[in-house]
Amino acid sequence: MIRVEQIDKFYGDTKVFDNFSCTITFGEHDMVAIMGPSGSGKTTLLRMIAGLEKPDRGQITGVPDKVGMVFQEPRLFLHMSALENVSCVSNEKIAEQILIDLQLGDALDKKADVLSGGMQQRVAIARALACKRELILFDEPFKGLNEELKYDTIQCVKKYMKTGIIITHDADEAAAFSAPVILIGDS
Amino acid sequence: MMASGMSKLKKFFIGISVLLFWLLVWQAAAMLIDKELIFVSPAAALRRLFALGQTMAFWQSCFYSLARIFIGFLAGMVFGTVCGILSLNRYLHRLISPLMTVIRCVPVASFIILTWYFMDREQVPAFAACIMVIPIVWGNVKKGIDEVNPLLFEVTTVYQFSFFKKMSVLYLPAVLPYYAAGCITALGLSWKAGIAAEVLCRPAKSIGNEIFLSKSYLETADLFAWTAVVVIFSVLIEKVFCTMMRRVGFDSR
Repeated sequence: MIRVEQIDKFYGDTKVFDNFSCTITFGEHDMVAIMGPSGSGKTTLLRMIAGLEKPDRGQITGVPDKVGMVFQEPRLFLHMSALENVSCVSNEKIAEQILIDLQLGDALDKKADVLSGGMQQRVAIARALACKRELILFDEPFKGLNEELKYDTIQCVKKYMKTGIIITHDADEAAAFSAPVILIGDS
Repeated sequence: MMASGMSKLKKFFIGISVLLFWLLVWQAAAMLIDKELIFVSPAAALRRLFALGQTMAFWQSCFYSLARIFIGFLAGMVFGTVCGILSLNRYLHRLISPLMTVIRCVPVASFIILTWYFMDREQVPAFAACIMVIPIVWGNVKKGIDEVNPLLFEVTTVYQFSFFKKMSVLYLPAVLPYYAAGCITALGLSWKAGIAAEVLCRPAKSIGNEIFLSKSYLETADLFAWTAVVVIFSVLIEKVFCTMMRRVGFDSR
């Protein structure tokens, strides 16, 4: 269980969170979805859970020491192959298996910079899954994938992930994981 | 393949033509001045160079000068790299930065004269070469580090990469092109600074000492020949270094 307790977060003069609290409980669900309008602070919340940013006030507790994360952009090391990008956080066998499961078997040895946007995004998902972390944070991970690929990728995520938090604008994605939804922002 | 062969031949001929042009300018200047004592013709310098090349002392001077300056260059690369890595820490960067500014601004002759008090004359050229290299390598390592994508830095933070893994996947690929370019620039400067130090300190068996003696005895043909040696080695060293860098896959930026 992750507790977000009375946090404030400012970007300059803009207040993103004002005394915001919530509890993220996994229970019988592997995935919890965070939804809300653009600019409501979904990504900021995820970055604070990942430890990439600190709240200006309040605290977040219950986050495992080690987490995995899929960012909105693939953020791959472009000079490395798809397999090297994934195996740099896990062992090569697991990395290879997950990439094959994500239909990237033909792209294992290809440099990341020659892969299409969709392929790069799946390599980033593979990297998060391969690191075998207790919690994986997904920030709109399926953006840019077609419906068929999205479905296959979701099945793969379900297969390898322990628990996760996903930010999405698509209620169908949350439904595909049977994920309870936390709404933040005005909605 | 044919086209590339032709273009290589064309480049070669253009290079030879440019060289001939400047030799002609040199010859014309020598004819205009018409005083072999202060300005020798290219033919006279070349003759002297061939004559010197047949003596063992010539090759010994070249070897010892190259060795001294290369040792200084390597030491400068190591110190510059270490300082660059230390500059990853912003407090250490603030500490190191003024030192590099001082090294950049102080004339190399001042360093040579100052260090001569503390060092053996054989060691001063290596030190002068080293001191020329440090700020260039440091600056280029720093420039490469500044090029590191902050988004990728976040990836290494989330996945808790070790220091060495961060170095190998994040910093090295960003730094190496700048590092290679810095080394090539530093190589030329260290060679010139090293020879200047040799002229001032006059270690035995050195190109600098030979240049000093040529000047002292008004042997202008020798002076031109030794200067030609400095230029030839400078070009050769740079070519060899660039080829080596390309072979190991470093593309200088």
